Amino acid sequence: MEKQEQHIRRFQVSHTVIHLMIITSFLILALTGMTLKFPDNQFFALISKGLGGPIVTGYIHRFGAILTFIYAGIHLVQLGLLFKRKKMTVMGLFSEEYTLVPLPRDAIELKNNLLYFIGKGPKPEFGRWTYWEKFDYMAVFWGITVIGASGLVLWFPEVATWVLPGWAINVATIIHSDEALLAAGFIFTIHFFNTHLRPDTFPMDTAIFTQRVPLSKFKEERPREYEEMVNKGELENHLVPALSSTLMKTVKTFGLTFLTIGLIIVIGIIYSLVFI
Amino acid sequence: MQKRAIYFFSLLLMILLSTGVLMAGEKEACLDCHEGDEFPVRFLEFNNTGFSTGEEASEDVKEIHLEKFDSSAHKKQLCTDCHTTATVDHDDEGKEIAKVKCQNCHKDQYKTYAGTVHGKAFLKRKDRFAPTCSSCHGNHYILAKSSPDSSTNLLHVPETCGRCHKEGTEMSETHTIHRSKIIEHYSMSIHRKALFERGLTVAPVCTTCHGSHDILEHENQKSKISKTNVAETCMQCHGLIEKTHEPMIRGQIWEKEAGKPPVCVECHKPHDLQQAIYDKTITDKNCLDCHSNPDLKTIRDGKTVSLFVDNNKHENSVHKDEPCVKCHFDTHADTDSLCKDPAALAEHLKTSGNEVNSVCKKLQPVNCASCHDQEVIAYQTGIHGKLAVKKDLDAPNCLTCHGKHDILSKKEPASATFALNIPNLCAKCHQDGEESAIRKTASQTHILQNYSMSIHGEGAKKSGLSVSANCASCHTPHKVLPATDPESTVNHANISETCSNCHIGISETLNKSIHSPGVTKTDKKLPVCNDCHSSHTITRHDAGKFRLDIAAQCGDCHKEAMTSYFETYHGKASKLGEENTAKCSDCHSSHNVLPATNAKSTLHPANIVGTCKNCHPGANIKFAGFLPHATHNDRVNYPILFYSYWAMTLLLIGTFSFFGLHTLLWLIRGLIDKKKTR
Repeated sequence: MEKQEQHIRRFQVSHTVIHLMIITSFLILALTGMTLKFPDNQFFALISKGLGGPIVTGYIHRFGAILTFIYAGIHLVQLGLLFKRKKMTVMGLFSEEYTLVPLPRDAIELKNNLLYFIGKGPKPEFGRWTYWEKFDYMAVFWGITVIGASGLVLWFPEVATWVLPGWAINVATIIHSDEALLAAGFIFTIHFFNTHLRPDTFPMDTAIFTQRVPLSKFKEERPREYEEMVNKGELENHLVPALSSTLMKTVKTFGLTFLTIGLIIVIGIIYSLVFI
Repeated sequence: MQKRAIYFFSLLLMILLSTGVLMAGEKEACLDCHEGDEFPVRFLEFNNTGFSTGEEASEDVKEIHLEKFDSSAHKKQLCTDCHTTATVDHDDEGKEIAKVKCQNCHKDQYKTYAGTVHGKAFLKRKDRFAPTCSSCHGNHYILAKSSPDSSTNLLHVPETCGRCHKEGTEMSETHTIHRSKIIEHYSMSIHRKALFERGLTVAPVCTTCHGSHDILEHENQKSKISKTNVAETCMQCHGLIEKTHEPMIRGQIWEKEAGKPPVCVECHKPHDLQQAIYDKTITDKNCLDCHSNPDLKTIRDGKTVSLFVDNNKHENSVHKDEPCVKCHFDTHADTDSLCKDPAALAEHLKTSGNEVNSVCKKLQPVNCASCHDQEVIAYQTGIHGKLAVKKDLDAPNCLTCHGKHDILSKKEPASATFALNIPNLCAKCHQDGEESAIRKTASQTHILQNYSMSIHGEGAKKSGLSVSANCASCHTPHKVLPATDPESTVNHANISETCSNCHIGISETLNKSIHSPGVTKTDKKLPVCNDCHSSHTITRHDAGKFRLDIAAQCGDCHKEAMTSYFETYHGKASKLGEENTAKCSDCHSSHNVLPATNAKSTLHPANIVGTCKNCHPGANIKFAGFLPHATHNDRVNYPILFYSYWAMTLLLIGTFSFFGLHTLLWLIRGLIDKKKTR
């Protein structure tokens, strides 16, 4: 990454803020949650003890939940504003380049990408959002809904049973716990690899924190979007300078810390699942 | 019968034929002369033996008061029934009235009497002191012995017998009676105290032991007080005496002949009966003359043993009112010559260096059982006593715990056996490293440390609660037995009862619960107190480790319930060290464990919401439908959970399989591409 290289602005500051909120809350939720899911694991038991026992850990977990509900709310407001300012339309969700809704084109790209993996075709030309990025985004929606709802039942079981039967608490426990396992397992392995650890970007992709991507990398990774920018003559509007190396260092330090924590948690999970 | 009838009728005929017969209803005829003191009495006193003493008749004989006679036992009899030869004008005729023969009616008594020491003296030896019927029963005013005024009434018997047998009477002066000072000794005895001071009408008097008409000398084998019969006589009242005397009879010092227990009177002087048997004439001063010398010593088994007795300590001890000889009853004060001669003793001590070894008789060890027999029986049944019998040097005896001359009541805080001091007392042997702990690798270690940290120990040590359980509370003070012994108070079968000595309420609840052998009939071992509460390490039940261990303790038997509990939030948080999340006992209760179908169960539909509310104030009946032991592995009982779990698991497997493969391929491709660009 040469210092002087032109960058493309890919994200807004608000995206960075939200992603930081996601990272923070997610790490909190995953770590505190896993202590209760795997109490036989010495590592998680130690964390629980260090945090002040399961009751305190529970409070911290609920703090993470509140943070999650906040960023989910912020994001929904953002989406609403985008619609209001006509920057986004319902029709556009199913056709425009900006859409995160999975479309038939994504299925084709998936097929082509798999063919590329096994050496039976060229690398697909991706646009602004690849199919796995769209999956990540939709998964968060799904996850927050499922884990959030079941979590609320567990948080307020007395209130929940005004409506639900008693065994719903048991079901909520299973759903909350396993969906969380899916989320944490997915983020800390698949998302980490797809976004950061794959050979192209190893050790990490800083775009979400710096909001920018080097032009060369942008051209290579998202040729379709680049092409569209060039065709529309908007490329110049998106060009930004690189960040200072100090800032980059800070970003990388933070990013790698988050990555490490996530990997430690996933190692703990795998250890618990396999050995305990 | 026929013989008797003939005898009776011939007697009647004789009476009728005699001149001037007094007919029935003619009592007045006698009283014409004999009533009151109006009539000068001209007959002589027949002393109580029936022989003329040449003296004037006593008031009782010469004055006859009809009212008094009419309240006597013979009120229905006529004068002539007894004075068979009396006629109206016997006086004018100068006839002497024949002596009354009580045997005419009281034949059996007379027969018995005739063979006795009194009867023989009267009939054979013509002893003027020999008592006849009237000597004890009186003449005209004989009362039934049930009447309080009767001379033969229980309360008057000692007095009646004492007329002759009292020290200083003519009879006692002129006759050789085996025992002396009989009445004086009796008056000091526990039997007299029982009768006259405590008003116990079952207390014995002379006749209780000696008989009344059948009195025989003690040498006579048939006598109630002979060596062969005396035990039986005493056991008329002291029925269980053999049982309570077991330690004394078995103990060698009581046994004069091997295998033959002594009879009662050999230890308990027959008239001067006391609760303890010792010579009262030897005072403490006699003993202390020598034993207050701090240097007094003897050589025993090659070791110098001090014979000093610190009387100050004894004066403050619980035995302060007991004389030395009460315990050391085989005192040598009356046998050892030196004891009687202070000057000679002083001389001896001077030359021997205060050593008395060869001079004074060695006393027998004190047998505490002579007063504390129940305690000693308990001790001998316990492990300490059993070891002592085997001459085990480590075995404690009475003195080990209680001390000697300085014994204090267990109520005294300074006493070694005071409740708060008992743990340290027992620990002298039972603490790790001490005799008991070394010789016996018991299941319990660090007994004192564990006890001190236990709730009972803290209650005693920190709060100074003397009612807090100490060693003796559970193990008993004297009958200490290992838990393996079925008789032990800490045996599995008995421990609940032992704990219930203090925890009576819990015991009542537990006895009605499903864990009670009275409720559940099973071959399996039902839990008792220490299965959950441990023994020496017993802690508070509402905090700390105890709460965290509950599930594992119940899980010893209830394995499945424990496993499923640990799959729920309650169990998992508990595993992480959270004391407050629900434990088994929070829902099932601790001692009142009952099936949910029982109306008194905390899980009964009528009670369950209340049970949940203990922790979840907002609980409702649907909330109580939470399945606290549910497992997603049980498809039959919990199908919803089973399918929820598998749906989620398939989702996970599907997602991870697809993306796992995707990632793996990507990794390989990425690495290949990277190699190419290089």
